[in-house]
This record gives sequence, C-alpha cells and structure tokens, in this order.
Amino acid sequence: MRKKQLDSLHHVKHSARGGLYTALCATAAAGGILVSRHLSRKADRTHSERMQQETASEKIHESLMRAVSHDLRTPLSGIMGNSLLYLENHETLNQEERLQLVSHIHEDSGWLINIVENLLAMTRIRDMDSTVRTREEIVEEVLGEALQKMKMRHPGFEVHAVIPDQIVMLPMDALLIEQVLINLLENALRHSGSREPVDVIVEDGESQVTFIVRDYGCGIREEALSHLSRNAPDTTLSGVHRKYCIGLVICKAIVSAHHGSFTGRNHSHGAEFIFTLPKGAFDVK
Amino acid sequence: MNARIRILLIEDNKNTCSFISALLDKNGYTTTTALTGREGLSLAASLCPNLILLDMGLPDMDGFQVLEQLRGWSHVPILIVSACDEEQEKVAALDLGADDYITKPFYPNELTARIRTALRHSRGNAHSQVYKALDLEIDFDKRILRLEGRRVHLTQIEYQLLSLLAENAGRVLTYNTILRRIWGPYAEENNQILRVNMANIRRKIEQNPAQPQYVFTEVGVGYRMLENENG
Repeated sequence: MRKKQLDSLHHVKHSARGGLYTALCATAAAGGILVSRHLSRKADRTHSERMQQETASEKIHESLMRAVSHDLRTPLSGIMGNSLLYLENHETLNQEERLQLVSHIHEDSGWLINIVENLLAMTRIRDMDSTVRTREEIVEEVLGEALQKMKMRHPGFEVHAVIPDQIVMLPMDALLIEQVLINLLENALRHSGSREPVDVIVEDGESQVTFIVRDYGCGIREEALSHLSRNAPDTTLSGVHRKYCIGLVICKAIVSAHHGSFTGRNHSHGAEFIFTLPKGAFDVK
Repeated sequence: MNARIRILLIEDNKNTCSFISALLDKNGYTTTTALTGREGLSLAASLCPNLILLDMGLPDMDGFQVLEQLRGWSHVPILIVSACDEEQEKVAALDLGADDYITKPFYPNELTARIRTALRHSRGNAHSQVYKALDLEIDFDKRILRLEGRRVHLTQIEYQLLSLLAENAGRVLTYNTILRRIWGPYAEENNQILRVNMANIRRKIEQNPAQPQYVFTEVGVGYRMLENENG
C-alpha cells in the first residue's frame, strides 16, 4: 500500500515538469474534441468512442492536477520565502530591502491570482458533457467589465477600445470570455515590452463577431505561435515564454468551447490576437 | 470623536480578520470580529453595529442563514465578503437583503469605498436634489440631465432607469430590483429590455460605451453607478 503511494507520488513529481502548460495544451486539444463531437453528436456513439472521451477527460483532469502542484508552487514559495526573510531579519534590513521583499510578495500574489482565475475558468469548461453554459450578452458590457478589472489591477495601463455603433448581442459564458480578454491584455502588458496603449477592436460580422487585441511592442516568438497553433505541449519553452503560453492556451480552450476560432500573429509593430465567436445558439442539447 | 462607527466583521479566517481590522482602524472605524456565524449573530444583537461585514463561508452556519436571520430583525447595512465568483450567489445574497458584496481578493480601497457608500445610504441622506459626478449632472426635481453643461434627452424609461441608479449611486442594483422598480411587480423575468435600454443610455452619456465612466456593468448581476459627488 505504502509502496504504491510512493510510486504514484514519484510519478506525480516526475511528470510535473510539464506543468500547467502541458495540462492546458491537453485541455485546448480537448476543446477541439468538443467541437468535432458537437458535429457528430447525432450519430450514435459507440462504446469505444465514449471510452475514448472519458479517457480524454480524465487525462485533462489529471494534467490539471499536476499543473496545480507545479505552477502554483513557484509563486507560493516566493511568498513563503520572502515573508520568512522579512520576519526573521526585519530588524537588520534597511527600508529599501524591506520594501523590496514586500513588493515581491505583492507581485507573486498578483501572479497567483492570475493562475487561480485561469484554473477556475478551466473548471467551468472541464466537464466535457455539458459544453459551456451560454447566455445572450451585450458585447460591450463584457468587454467593459474586463477593462474595468484591468484598470483596477494595473492603474496606469492604457487600452483603446473600439466597438460597433450598434448593440451587439452574442451567446457566451461572460466570465470565460472576460478571462480571454484579460489574459490577452495581461500578456500585452507583461510581454510586449511597450507602454503604448493596447487596441481592443470588436467587429460585427454576418455570422460571427471578431475580437482583436493588438499591442505595439516586440511581437511574440514564432515558436510560441506555432506551439499554440499545433496545440502541442512543449516543455522546452521555459520561464517567461511558458507563462506567456499558459494564458494563450487557456484562451484557445475557452474560445474552442464556444465554437469560435483563435489565432495569434505578429503585425509590423507588435503582436495581435484575433478570436471570433459565432452568432446564434450552438447549444448541443 | 468618541462616537466611532462600529463595524462587526463575521469572518472565520484570522489573518483576513486582522488585515481587515487594521485597514478599518486606519480609516477611523472600530471593528469587532466574530469567528463563527453564531457568535456573529449574538454580537450583532448585543453590539448594534453600524454595519456588518459578512463572509459567506463560515464554519458553523451557511452565510445565507446568517444573512436571513439578521434581516429578520435588523436593517443594519450588510456587506457580503465572498470568495465565490458565481453570479447566482451574489444575486441570491442581494435578493435576501444584503446591501452590496465584494469578492475576494479585493483591493483595500474597494472595501472602504463600499463601506462608505453603504453607510451613507443607511443614514438616509443619500438622496440629494442633484446627482453630480465628473461631467454628468441630474436634477431630480426638474428631471433634467446635463452632460458637460449641455442637456441630454432621454426617453421616459431611460430617465427613470438612470435616476434610479443615481439615487443608489455606488451600490449595485440587480436586474430584478431594477425591473421591478421600473416596470412594476409583474415585469417579465427577461432582462433583455433593461439591458438594451442601458446600452442606449450608454450611447447618450458615455464617451466610449466599452469604457464607461458613469454606469458599470456587473455581468450577470446588474449595474452600479459612479458615486455621487454631492452625496
């Protein structure tokens, strides 16, 4: 019994290297499964198909659990370490050092909030049998709330939003789409290396609505883009680039679960991410 | 200053209690903490606080139960502090009589702003004759709306909607509350008509409807209008 536990512990520890990124790539891939499943819903599912889906769902759950143990621990250990350092040395530290420790704790907790929000978002689409719960939303209200949250978290961060004159209504899970917008804006803020205002543009089309988040920074690395488009987990990406991908992979999973498309590319002065959401109900039931 | 405003904090996490107490103390409030629902209920009765901060995840009782029992005999403003981001929970708490809610993790100034708003509304002097914030002015007597000094024309319904939000400036009003107040008790459950009216108002008063300055959306819950500077 004990041996088995140790073995599984070892397994978890060993496979945690892929971390959140791997887990979410798997989830994004499953987003694809969800779409194709929707199309073939009417056909009777065979026993083996069902088995396959259950395995896919289990896999995602499993990798998510591994992810929790990996990517949450990094900021947590920062908080633990810095606060302990403060507690044990506060008398000998000078003002500046103390401020630095506390600001690192603050930074790490900000990042932690980010990861937790994303994990919570994932649990909302994890259940592969019910797709996302959608409701008709007014696009500007969802975008407005996302921008409001960003303003709270990053007071100096400027966004320039352009929306159609007419009122646009779309079926969506508003909290999830907000998360997509926030992830894209957070990415622009953290990784574009630029303080230029970020554009968010909403375009109303015949059968879909297009959202564009465009920054004017250094662009994103081609490898990161190609991993994203293949849904291929790549554990060779490290540090900053891995974090960059986590947000994007979650975006892709959420948009896929809404039966929309998600792409990223570099334009002449930075990076832009484009996603579409279909108009009209797509409820599988 | 011996009449400091008393706040009862019902929250089971000691660290959160100490953080909130320190924050409130710094803002001139006196805080008493209760670590369980039962303790909270008895302190609410014996202390008669000016405001209650209620965490929904208590060890001994459901937060909704505490809220319900408090509302059974008291009109004291109750602010929900919740770790849950589900819209249904927020709406349910507001419908049960909570004055407002704040979701963890929150910013210190968010909490103190909510407290100030709730206290002001409870004192009953929130109803000034004029709403003013930034460049927007509403004269409730004359039923006139001015933006940057210029009159803006609203339809009857739009005016009722906006003035209702302005009278309650700073706190969230749920879709249901607004529907009942404007369209009457037999209003349809469907909030589409309300939201379309709001979208039209935004186009009349906001520079950019996607980045509003006056009326904020709490998706799935309702609307909150910017604080009244005349409050």
